[in-house]
Amino acid sequence: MPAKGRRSFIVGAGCTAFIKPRGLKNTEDMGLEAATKALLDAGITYDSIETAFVGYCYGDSTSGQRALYNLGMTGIPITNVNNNCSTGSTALYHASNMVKSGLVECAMALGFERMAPGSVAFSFPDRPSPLAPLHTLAVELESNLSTGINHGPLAPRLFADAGQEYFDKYGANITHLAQIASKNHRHSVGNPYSQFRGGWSEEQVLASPKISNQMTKLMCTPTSDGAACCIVASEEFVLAHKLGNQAIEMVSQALTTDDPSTLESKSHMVLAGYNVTKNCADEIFAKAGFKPGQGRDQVGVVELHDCFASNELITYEALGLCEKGEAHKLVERGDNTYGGKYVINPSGGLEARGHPLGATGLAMHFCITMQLREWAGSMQVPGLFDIPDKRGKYGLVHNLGLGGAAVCSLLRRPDFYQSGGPDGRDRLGYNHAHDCRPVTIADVDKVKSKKTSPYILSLARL
Amino acid sequence: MAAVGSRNSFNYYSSAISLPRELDMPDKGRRTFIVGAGCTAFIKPRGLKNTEDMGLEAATKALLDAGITYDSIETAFVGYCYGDSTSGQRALYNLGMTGIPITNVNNNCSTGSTALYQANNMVKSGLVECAMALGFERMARGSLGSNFPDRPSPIAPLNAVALDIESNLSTGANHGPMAPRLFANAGQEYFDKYGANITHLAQIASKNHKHSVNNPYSQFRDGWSEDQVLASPKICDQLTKFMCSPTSDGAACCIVASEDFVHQHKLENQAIEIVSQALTTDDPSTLESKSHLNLVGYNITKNCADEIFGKAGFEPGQGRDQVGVVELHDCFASNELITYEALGLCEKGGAHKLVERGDNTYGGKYVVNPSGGLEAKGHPLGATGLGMHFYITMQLREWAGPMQAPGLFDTPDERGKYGLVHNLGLGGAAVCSLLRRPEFYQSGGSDGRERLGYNHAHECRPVTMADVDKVKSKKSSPYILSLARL
Repeated sequence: MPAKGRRSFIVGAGCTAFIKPRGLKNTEDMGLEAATKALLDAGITYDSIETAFVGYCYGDSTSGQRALYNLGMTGIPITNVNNNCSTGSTALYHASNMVKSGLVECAMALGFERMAPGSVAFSFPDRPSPLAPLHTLAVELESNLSTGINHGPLAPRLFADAGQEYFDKYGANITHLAQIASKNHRHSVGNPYSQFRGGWSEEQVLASPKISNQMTKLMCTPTSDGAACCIVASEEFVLAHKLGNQAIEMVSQALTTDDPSTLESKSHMVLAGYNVTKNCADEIFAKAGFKPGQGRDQVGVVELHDCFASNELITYEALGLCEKGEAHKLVERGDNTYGGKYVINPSGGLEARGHPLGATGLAMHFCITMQLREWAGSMQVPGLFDIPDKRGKYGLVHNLGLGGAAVCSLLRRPDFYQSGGPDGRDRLGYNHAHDCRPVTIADVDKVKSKKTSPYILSLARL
Repeated sequence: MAAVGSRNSFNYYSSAISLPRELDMPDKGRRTFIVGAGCTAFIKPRGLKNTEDMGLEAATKALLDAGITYDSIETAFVGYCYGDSTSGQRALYNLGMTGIPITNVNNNCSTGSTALYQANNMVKSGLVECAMALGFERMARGSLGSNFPDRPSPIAPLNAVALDIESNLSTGANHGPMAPRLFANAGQEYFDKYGANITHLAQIASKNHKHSVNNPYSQFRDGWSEDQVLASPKICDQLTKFMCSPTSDGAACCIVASEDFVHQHKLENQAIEIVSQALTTDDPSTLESKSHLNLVGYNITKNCADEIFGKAGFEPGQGRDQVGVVELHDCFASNELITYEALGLCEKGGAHKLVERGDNTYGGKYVVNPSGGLEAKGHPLGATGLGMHFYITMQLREWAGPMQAPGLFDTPDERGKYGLVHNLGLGGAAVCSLLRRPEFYQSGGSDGRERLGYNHAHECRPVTMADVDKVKSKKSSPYILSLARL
């Protein structure tokens, strides 16, 4: 597929801490924090934003406006979007499209979530869930697995079954899932944004309470509250605002929904999104100019959707990071962590960092952007730029929502990238890539629009 | 100027964007057209149908209308306020699982037009040739509620200011549920400022209810008189029940395409151009101006309307005379009143005079809400804005039968008069569109009416599986289709 449109770049990004849901903060306040950090990072005010997409799953309509009006009431088009767990990346996809297409020079993608404690629930119990057909099939097909009927809440059960299918087909087992989970938990120790920083060992992961036959509690993402924000701009904007020392190119991106195999193939892996992921990944590598199956070797760092450790396992293969049937061998080789071929989820992934649905995809892009800027401190993946091409290796993002939609992105330093001079770290006063601090009203004042409502701002709780 | 364009689409466009003007935004991108549209009946919420089934019906009708299959759709936006995420995919997967980007969107009551705005942008920008905007809603009965009672509503600040400033009105503190109360207060402010009164609201409501008698899609078709409107139960000091839109279940769909697509698919006999469109959010005056009119969106409507007329090439304040038919957001009769002024259909302070002149109905200067508007036809939040564009499209095709506004093409310019759509959601967002026949429009030959087998502009029928089979993708899931209840 030819990639239409002009180049687009992430010029600013910001994130809140992801925390256990306790209803301590409203989405308008979390959104204000993340967006303020992103604007400070980019060294621009809200007046530069020509359109915004705000992603969240739980919350009444126009929650996006409620958050952004803190920064200004400038009349720009604002649209609230959702796609289950890939909501955040969906917002970014549209912001990027608006820039790529030439309709705007600069667009914001904001995402947040304030969740109920416990497993992901349905907010509209008076009607069938959009995922009902998927769940029905998943339970029906459990007899195909060597372990038969599973147990536990539906979300982990679905992904546990997908893991079991991989076990049955290729000889992987629960210890591979434990290694993945432990790897993510170890990564998160260096991430002050992360909900969990327990750094649990494989033994500790295996010893945690069983959720399904194939998964323990520490192999599952928690629910979380949090927000994240990315600002996308054109090359002209980057040059005009002297952001050549931090702009990271969105080389290619795709949003892919289900094909019939999701429901017709009788495969748990496919039910859990394997094909949507594969189709999406194939599309972005092609858009980046690679032949089918090629390009994965040029990726150095990955943030992928480990809602459950089993999804990380099957996603290695779906993304093409390993051969068919060899995801567990990638694990055994240590090619998913520092010292290996790829560093996967340097942030700690969903399992450790947390998963506020609307924010997650944007946090992934925040992390990869910081990696490619080489600002990531103790999380920094080494060697991304030890190659002949000064643009260095690609960062790969993968965000998946059942129902469904996958969003994948290939990010890379652009050819014109030049470190030096003031950048987001100076503007924020600290390196927010690996230092998590709140924002103050003084920060908001630096980036808010000339057209603001004192009344709205008076309600903000930072 | 742009009003008398040449047949060369490039010249038509360049004349529109070459005007120097500080307020309006230059209109980037290429021309776009609504090529297909479809609607379900809007009905009282009883939970009889799921959104996936209503969405299937509306989208099937739109595809049949356009004479294309779902394989032509390169991206889709699905709007709804109530329902779990990915309800859009659940509906569209009935027609095919083609892997295209699908995004669920919302903006309160302007959700449907928001979906259309995004679909339109994808075509305008050249990223795709053909995009779908689908909207639906399955609502709880009674007044609009929040599904997330554990947190403040996004419109809490708006509501707080509204209550605070009720003392500015001659009638003081009001009563009733918050949604009608907000709009009742706005009506009262207009009464206080300009001498309008409740009988003007009764005329507006009755006008809409009379229009709906001709609309088989409409939730209400009772055609109540002004007396009957005034005699219905009081909701607030300024509004009676028949001046309020009901809650509704329903779906609507519009398909947007490029000019190339129109010619390739021989749709010159039904393509209606989206000449200009804008999505506008609040400016500080919404909360800071201490005006009930602005609290309920007067200023964002005005900003939005100014923008679309500007983009269409008109000088500030100009162009309204070239509009013949309007679908606007009469969630409550008082909002229709103040919206006449906000859209520039009348001079400041003259909205009730427009009512007295009868310039809002057949025989008058504008036919406003030939469909019956929200008050009569209903208001399923995600569908309403798309329903509005469906009706205006049918008006400009001259397919609207007993709802047809006369004289739209009794003009020197063969493109005829403009259709104007206005959709408003508090919180908020307004979407306005100027639609018009393109210069290449040529009636004749087979069109959507043949393809559907009836004129769906003024006849409402269900769809069958045979209809779905005609338009579904080659890549569909028998399992999903087996669950459909048409």
